[in-house]
Amino acid sequence: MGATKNNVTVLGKGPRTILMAHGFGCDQNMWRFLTPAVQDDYQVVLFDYVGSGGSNPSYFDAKKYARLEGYAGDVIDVCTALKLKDVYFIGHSVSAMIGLIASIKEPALFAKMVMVCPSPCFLNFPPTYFGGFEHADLEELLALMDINYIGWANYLGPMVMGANAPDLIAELSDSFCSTDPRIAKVFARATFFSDCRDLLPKAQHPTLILQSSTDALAAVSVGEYVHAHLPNSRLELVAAEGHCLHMTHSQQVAQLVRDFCPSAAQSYDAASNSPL
Amino acid sequence: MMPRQIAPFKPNLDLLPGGCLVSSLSRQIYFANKFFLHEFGFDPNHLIGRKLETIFSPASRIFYDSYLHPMLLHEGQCREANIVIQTGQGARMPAVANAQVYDGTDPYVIWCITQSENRNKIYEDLVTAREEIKAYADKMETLALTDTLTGLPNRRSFEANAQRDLHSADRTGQPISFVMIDIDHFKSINDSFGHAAGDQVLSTFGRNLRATARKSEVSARFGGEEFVCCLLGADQYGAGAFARRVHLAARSVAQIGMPVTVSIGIVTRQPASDLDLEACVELADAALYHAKANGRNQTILNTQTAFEICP
Repeated sequence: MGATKNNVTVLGKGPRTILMAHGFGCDQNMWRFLTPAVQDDYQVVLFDYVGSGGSNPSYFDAKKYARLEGYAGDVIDVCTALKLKDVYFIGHSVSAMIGLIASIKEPALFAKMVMVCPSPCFLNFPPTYFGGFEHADLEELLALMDINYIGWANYLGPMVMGANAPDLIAELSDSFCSTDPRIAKVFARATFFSDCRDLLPKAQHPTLILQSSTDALAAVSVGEYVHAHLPNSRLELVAAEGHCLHMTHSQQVAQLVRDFCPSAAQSYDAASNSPL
Repeated sequence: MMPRQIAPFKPNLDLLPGGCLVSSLSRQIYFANKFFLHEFGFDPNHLIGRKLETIFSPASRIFYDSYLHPMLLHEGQCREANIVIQTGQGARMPAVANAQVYDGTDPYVIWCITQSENRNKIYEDLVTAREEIKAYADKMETLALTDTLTGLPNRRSFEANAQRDLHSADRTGQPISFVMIDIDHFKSINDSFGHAAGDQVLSTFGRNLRATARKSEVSARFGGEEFVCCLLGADQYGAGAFARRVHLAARSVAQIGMPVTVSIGIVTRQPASDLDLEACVELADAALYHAKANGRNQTILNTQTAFEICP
């Protein structure tokens, strides 16, 4: 034990801060391909949501984290603890929506948002919206989360114990994508059964949407939907395979981030008032 | 294109009694051994050159993108991943996958994939057992903290919640009031109307008390015919107003054909006071004792220097 709540890492230096929020599945290590390309000019803040990576699992509250608002609370807590304001927020996948929730709740904390492969809703609602998945697909995913114990050190103990035993939860291994089903399943349910489409028009900050050209989780049509409903947004299509542009196309992503998020304080004011 | 290093071993890979795939790191399938093709019913002409997504169910595509692909990029391997293969015939088949990245100018991934239908049945049994134990533990916890007759939290639960509120009062600089309540002449009710009627009175009063308190206020059965409430943020006036509502709640208990009355003792703890939970309860109890001695059906406030009747 002894881990801090959100396992915050601060890298680099610069007048402006980029806060990077990992998506469902892994942890802040996801950003390691991107951070070297920006940390010379920005302060970069990384963290793990409670229940992921090196966070302190004793803070895990199944009720709180059953909703994306719970994870948005983590984002706000990190900003508050570090006294951050006007940050550039980069959120991958579900974290794009978590960041949106946080930015609507506490607008002063954010300056601009970058959404990497966002999806406001993974479910299909024909004929108006196609998130890509049927309800049964997502139920199957929850069943998969139930039986996958990746990087989980104490295998059978917690599975049989079932109860909330903090000492057992604390034995999550250091593995990058550790999954304790009791935690990962809660995050999976919050991620894949949430519908944030109503929130898009409420966005208050300029937003850059980075869309992968081939993404099984968030199709191009989903990125276009986000762009169409998010005021003051820009859509960039990146020719790529997959859902992790920040890992597979980190240089290109870094350049797009740099262009969108001026690193010097004085240039920001002018840039933020200019049309996208 | 099949990696140069693997091509010479192709005949040997076809002899393996397990599924073997070779793909690029960008998901293109280069090779599938005979076991894989047979086990999962794929035609090589419809598989080779296609994307890995071809073999995964939609849920497994999510799992691949959320876990497996990031792990391959970051750690270069993944072990014992439970996935679901969507077979060549469109059926779903549970499987276990190991994968290893081999670096080079054009990195490639070797996958070992074995169907795990039987293993999955054991998993499902374990998951069911885990959920049953969890549900049972939750039920036991609720029972251990709830008074069965009134449905209110019991004394143990009260102490835990009141302690939390006491800390909160100190942290936020708020007063906190403790209200002890005792049903008047309860022994006479039992003696005159029987224990079943007495239980009915307790049960109805408990329900009324719960309706009187705010959701955030802790109210509990302290024992016998005694109840206790902890009001975070309430000063002596707020607690007095609460007590007046409790008197009304008691009068509406109609089981015995005449109004039930209660005696109430209050103490208010100011922020940063040295009083701990036990002391607060004792002071409220002393006020309750005075209310009884003074003729019952009234509220007494313990100011710690005097006992005052609350209007």
